[in-house]
Amino acid sequence: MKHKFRHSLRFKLLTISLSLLVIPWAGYRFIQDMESILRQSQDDTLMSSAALLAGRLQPEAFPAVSVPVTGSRHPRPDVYVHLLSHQPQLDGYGEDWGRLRASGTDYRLQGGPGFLLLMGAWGDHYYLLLEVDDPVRNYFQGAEVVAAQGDHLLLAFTDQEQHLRQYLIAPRAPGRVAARAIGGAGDLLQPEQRIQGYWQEIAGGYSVELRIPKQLVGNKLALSQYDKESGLHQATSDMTQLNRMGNLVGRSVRLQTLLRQANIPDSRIWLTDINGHVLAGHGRLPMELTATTGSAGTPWFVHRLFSLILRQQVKDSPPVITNDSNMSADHLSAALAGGPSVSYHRPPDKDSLVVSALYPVNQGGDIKGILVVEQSTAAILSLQNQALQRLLTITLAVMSVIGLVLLGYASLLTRRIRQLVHQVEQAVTSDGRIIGQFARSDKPDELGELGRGFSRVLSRLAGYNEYLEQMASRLAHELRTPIAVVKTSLENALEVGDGSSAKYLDRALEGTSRLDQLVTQLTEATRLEQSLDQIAKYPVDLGQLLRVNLELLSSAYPEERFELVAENGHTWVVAAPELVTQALENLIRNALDFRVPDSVISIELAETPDHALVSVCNQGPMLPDGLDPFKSMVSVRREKSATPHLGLGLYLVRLIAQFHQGQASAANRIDGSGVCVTLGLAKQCADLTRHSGT
Amino acid sequence: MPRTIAIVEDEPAIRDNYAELFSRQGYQVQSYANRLEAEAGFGKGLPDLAILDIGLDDEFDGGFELCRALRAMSPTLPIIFLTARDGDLDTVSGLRLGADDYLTKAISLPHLTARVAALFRRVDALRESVQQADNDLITAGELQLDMDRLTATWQESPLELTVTELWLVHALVRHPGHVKSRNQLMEAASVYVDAATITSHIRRIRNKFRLLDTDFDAIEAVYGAGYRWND
Repeated sequence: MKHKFRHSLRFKLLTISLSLLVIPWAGYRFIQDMESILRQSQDDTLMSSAALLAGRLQPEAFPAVSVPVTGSRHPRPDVYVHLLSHQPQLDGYGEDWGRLRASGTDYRLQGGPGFLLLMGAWGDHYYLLLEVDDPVRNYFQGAEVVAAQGDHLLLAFTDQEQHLRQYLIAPRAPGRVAARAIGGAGDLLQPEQRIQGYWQEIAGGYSVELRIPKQLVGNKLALSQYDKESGLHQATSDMTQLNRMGNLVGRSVRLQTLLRQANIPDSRIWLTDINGHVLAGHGRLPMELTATTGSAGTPWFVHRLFSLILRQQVKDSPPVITNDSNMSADHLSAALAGGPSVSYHRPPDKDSLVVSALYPVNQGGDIKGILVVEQSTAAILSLQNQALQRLLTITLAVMSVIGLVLLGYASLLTRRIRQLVHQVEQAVTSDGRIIGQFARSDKPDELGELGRGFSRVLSRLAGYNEYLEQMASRLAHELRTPIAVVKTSLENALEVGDGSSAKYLDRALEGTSRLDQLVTQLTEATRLEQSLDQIAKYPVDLGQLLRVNLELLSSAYPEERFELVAENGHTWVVAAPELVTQALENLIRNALDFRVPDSVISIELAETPDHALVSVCNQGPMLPDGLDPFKSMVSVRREKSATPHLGLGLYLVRLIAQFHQGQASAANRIDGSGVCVTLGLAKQCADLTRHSGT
Repeated sequence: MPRTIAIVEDEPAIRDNYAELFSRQGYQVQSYANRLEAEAGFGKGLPDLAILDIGLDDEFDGGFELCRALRAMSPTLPIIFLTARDGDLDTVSGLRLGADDYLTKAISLPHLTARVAALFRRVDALRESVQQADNDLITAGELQLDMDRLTATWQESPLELTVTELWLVHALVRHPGHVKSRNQLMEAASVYVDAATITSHIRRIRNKFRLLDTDFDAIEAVYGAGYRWND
């Protein structure tokens, strides 16, 4: 029997073994937990390193900076001095400032004048670059310079002695410009030769480059721009009051040195003032992750899997800081609020994160600056990747092995069970007689026990069946003696009697002879069953057998009419001819008992590819539904017939059919006129090993 | 002088019935219930014919023993085995005890009487040295049947057939080439047994022929339906 695979035990075992998938899932969760623990630990370590470092920084080393006031006209009073990488060409154009132009501070108003200011230091000079929005440029004309008559710039700074100096830059035309000092009373003095500048027109406005020697300048500086067209000023900070003027803020060597002493591996450290200007910076972040891209052995889908898992976390982090000079306010906001904080940033095109620990540097309750220590999580990430890889590989391997082992064992078990089923079925015929031995299994497990249980049950049943069968023959044997007693007594009585009771004695004798026939039939059935093993089968022409039998039948029953319906060719079967004849005789006797008088009994021979079928058909009453006439002792007779019967005749026919690996069946004729009983014989026999006897 | 028939049968009713039957027919009857009694009786004087039951009292093969003992005392004494079981016939013949006939207790009394009479006839015929010209002789090939004396010869050598076997062969030989069904053979030999018994009778007959002639194949089984004699 073939079951659908999804009903089989193996399928169920496989499904159950899918629960093993819990293992890699648990492992994955574990790795995730480990990762967050490690990250937490990294954050903590970083923070404590930052705290340590911040403690070592002397707040006095921080330059004075302007505290931002919300709502003030000058939100960014301090001017940051960049460290230039090369000397700019003083020509008024800012292209040679390079990348730095993007870091300029924006002093533009909505709908009003404004400019972009960039200040840098090179050698002994400060350089300033302004790019001003001014669509209508008004130059000064005439010998006298009155401030409001044209677009001009005002420069104010403190000198080394903290004195305020102011200068006017009022061009008459593009090109070289001079900075004229403004005296205490507001009068214009001679141009300061040491300050050089160039004024050039550019699209949308003009661009100014100034060069000021460092020794001129103290630590405060402010710049403003006047547009004649609109009449509006725009300044970096207050131009006259020293305490409100913006500071010059730049990288501090002292602080840089202090940072260099920090010993935080694989880190990048910034020190900014409260406005976000970078005062010192040190270190570089190693950006490559080890061991994720390097594992060439893992297949591509493993990488995809990893990126699926990991990118989730990286995706929602802000990008990493790339600006060397300035940090955005929101980046520092948490630290400015007073507490140390940790934030995460995403480096471009990388899977790792950058951890930023921000630590405010305090002096007496005031925040002087902010220490930013950055580290990459690359190390942790590569650890995690490695672990995940190992996990995946191992669990896949383990699961496949376990799955295969389970499947194999389940196959073994199902094979044993099927064998058991087959053996059990082979041992019993389709009508319940036990014909085979059942091999005892010697396996100690439950299946072996099951097999042994079957074997015990079958042998008990076989013993009981044997006992029952023998009972029949023993009974028959025992009956013969009393029957003989009765018969001989009756016969004697008939002989010596005076004839008056002859007819009673005759009837009695008739009764005993019927008894005798019954007993004979009983023993015949038993003997046939027992002798079946010894009877040999050999090739027999069934057609010829039927023809011979027909002859004999005609001479045995001269009043009856028989006809044979068969082709004249040869129909070879492997059979025991005396058994076939006996079965035929039983079938004929059965037909004779049932037939309508004077009707023909026909014997028909038919063939299928594997079997030959001999049918004896008679006209007469039909078989009732649900009756199996082949079961012994089943007898349905409408009238009493001459021969007594136990209903064994057809039972013998079935036995003989089974002996020939065929089947006996009974069916009503299609036209409803009677019954056909068919004996089927296999054409080939599997065990043609015995030689013919007799 | 009336002939003596010994009946050895452990079932008293059957024994008495047989005894009274034969008495009425004029035979002297000695009846014994078991082997020991019978041997004692035979020791005193042999009967002219013995009818033995196989299963005697508690001895399963008491009848066989008795037959051997009797045969030892007289090689020509007619012995008939009576048995309740059909299957015993095979066993009996296999033992080659030299009995003259094997019958079942199902046989009717008239038939039994006829058997006994036939056996006596044979004994008498064997004793007579004169061959009568009008013997009922049937010849078929190398077989010669004398139905008066109930003897048979094959290739001039005598065949040791029981009366039953003789009648079976006679039935076959009467119409050589014709197939006789087993029922027909049963009727002819006055034996009413099942088909398998006829088969074993025929087998025994063939074996007896083959003892004399290993090439004997004149009795042919035809599809298990019957037998015929081929010349």
